Amino acid sequence: MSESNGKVHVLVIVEDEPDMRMLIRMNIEADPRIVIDGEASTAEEAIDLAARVHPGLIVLDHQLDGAMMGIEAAPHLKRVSPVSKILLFTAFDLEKAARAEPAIDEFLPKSRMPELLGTAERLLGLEPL
Amino acid sequence: MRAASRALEIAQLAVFAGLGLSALRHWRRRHDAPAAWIAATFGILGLIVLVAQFLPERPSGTFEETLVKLLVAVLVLFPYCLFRFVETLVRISRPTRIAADAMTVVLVAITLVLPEIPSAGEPRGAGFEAYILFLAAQWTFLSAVVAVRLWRAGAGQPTIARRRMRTLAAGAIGLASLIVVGAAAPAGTEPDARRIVTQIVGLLSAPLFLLGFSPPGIVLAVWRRREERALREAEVGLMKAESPAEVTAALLPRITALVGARAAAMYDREGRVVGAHGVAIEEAEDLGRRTRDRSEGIGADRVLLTHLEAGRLAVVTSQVSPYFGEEELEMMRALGAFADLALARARLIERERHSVEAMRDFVAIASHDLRTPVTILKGLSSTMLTHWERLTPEQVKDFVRKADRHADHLSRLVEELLLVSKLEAGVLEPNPRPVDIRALVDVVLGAIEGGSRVSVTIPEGLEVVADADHLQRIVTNLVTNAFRYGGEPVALEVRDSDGFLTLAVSDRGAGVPKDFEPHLFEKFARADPKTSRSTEGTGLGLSIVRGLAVASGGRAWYEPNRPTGAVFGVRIPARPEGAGTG
Repeated sequence: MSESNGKVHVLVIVEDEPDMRMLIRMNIEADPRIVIDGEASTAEEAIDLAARVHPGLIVLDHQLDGAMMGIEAAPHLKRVSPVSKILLFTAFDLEKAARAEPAIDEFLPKSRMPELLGTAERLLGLEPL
Repeated sequence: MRAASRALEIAQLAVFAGLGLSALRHWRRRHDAPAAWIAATFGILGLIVLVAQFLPERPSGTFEETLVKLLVAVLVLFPYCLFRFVETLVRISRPTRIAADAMTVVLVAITLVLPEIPSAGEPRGAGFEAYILFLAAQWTFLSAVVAVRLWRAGAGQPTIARRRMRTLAAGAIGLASLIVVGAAAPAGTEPDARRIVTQIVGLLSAPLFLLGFSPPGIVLAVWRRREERALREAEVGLMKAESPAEVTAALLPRITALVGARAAAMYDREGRVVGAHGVAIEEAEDLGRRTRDRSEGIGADRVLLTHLEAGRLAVVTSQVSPYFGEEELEMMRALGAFADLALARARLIERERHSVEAMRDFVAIASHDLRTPVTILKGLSSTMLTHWERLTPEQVKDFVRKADRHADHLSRLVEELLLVSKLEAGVLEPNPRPVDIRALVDVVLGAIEGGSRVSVTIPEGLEVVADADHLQRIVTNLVTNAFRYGGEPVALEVRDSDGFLTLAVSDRGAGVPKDFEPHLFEKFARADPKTSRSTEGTGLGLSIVRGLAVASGGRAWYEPNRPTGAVFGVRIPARPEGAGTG
């Protein structure tokens, strides 16, 4: 995981829904130790960003713009940024598919948004505030 | 010996006279060239056998001698008429035809100018012997051509046609050998063994002709066994078919085999090819165009057309099928009727399968499109609850605004999904009432952002009978789409002509991508996948427009606008029959 001034970096990947992006950001930013280092709306953009930034955590939606969906993008993200943990955060019941994909470290349905911050802290190795 | 000979003579008379009458009845029924020639053939034979009964053994006097000559001249015509009959069915080379004509004409002429025809037992001069040989040669030549052509043409034909043609061929050979034997060994005055033999051969030829020409039902039943089996198999295949393609695959090869046809094709009510066998699709389409307005039956091009409930069946028959394959053609018609049932069943199965698949796709897509706004609403509320203390009043207001927007979208989506479901289930009946089109359009445009900028063309005082709610929805969706996905200026034009109301909305945007055109009216279809699903539109607008137009007995359409943009429209009956007027 990358660190800067005691903060860790998080990459947020979302679909084409800006309001959902805002909600994820708002929940994550409740912990000042975590910095949102970039956002993407397609798998291709996310892979580019991850290769440059090497974030500690990638919050990955499944339904993305473009041809590649989140679960398919996970191995590519892991390949360009092996240090990044990947959290599949989606409205769909894809727990089984997520568990079958080794590149995905954790699955969380969007209906459990209040758990997003705690899950992110755990994956980044941070104690809850 | 005399008694046996006499008995055979009477039997011969009965059989040939019967054949002659049967042939004449056949010609009265069919009135075509083959029937005419076969009627002439057996009519001649029957006439000869009948008249011969009344001629004395030794004709005397000019009248009786002339009658004998005429009888012999007519006898010469028998194989020639049979030859001409076969010529109507199978191709015969020109040299053969010329030879047949020449021999017959010459022989008839010689017969009529013969000084006398010696009676039985009288000596024959060299000239008469030569004449008899020429007669035998003519019979043999023509009978051989008939037999060979019929035998060969029978190959590849269904059982009944093949056996009929070959028994006719055998009958021709039988009679020819009768003539040859009679010519080679002239009989004495008393009936001897040779005469008995020739009479027996002649008698045996008669049933062969009868079987070939008009086989009795019991014989047909035995001959038809193989085709009956094939018919049963075809019926089983048809009942198992679950699509129009499977119906034609089960039907057409069996029909072509059943009637010895070259090819067959099936068409739906719109004239489109459902399936073809023995021809390429292009040829089948051409055949369909040629037979489109034809009535049932066999045309001059030997195409047999059968009209079905589901469309048409065209069979390219062989040249002999219409004459020798009548029974098979009847079986084919019965099979065609069966195919109607099978097609109706296959279409129902296909429609049901399509409905299940469409429903599955619809549920999959709808559940996704519904989930997005629901998830966001839930996210907004849970985030507000979790982080209430650190939210500023502006952020709270922003959250509530977003929640309101997503709730609106969700509500619209649910309402439109329900409408689409009702349209697809066919339970949404239009309620046509008199509608002032100008007033309706004004109301709709007043509620749409940018509606005042729409250029409107509507005939003064135009009133139609239609469902006002449906029309409002159609106009709303088309105009909204024009602003959202097209580009200004947006124009709306309404016309009432030929009993139809045509309503078209045009824009000057970028237009519809060519590869997206086939999907325009599908549910949740979006040309640009980047278009936000949650706020821009439901993806159901055009699907609803089409559904409402169809429910009113009309249709929806799209065409590109010039120089750029799109035109979407509907055309519905302006005054449907039986509609309420107030």
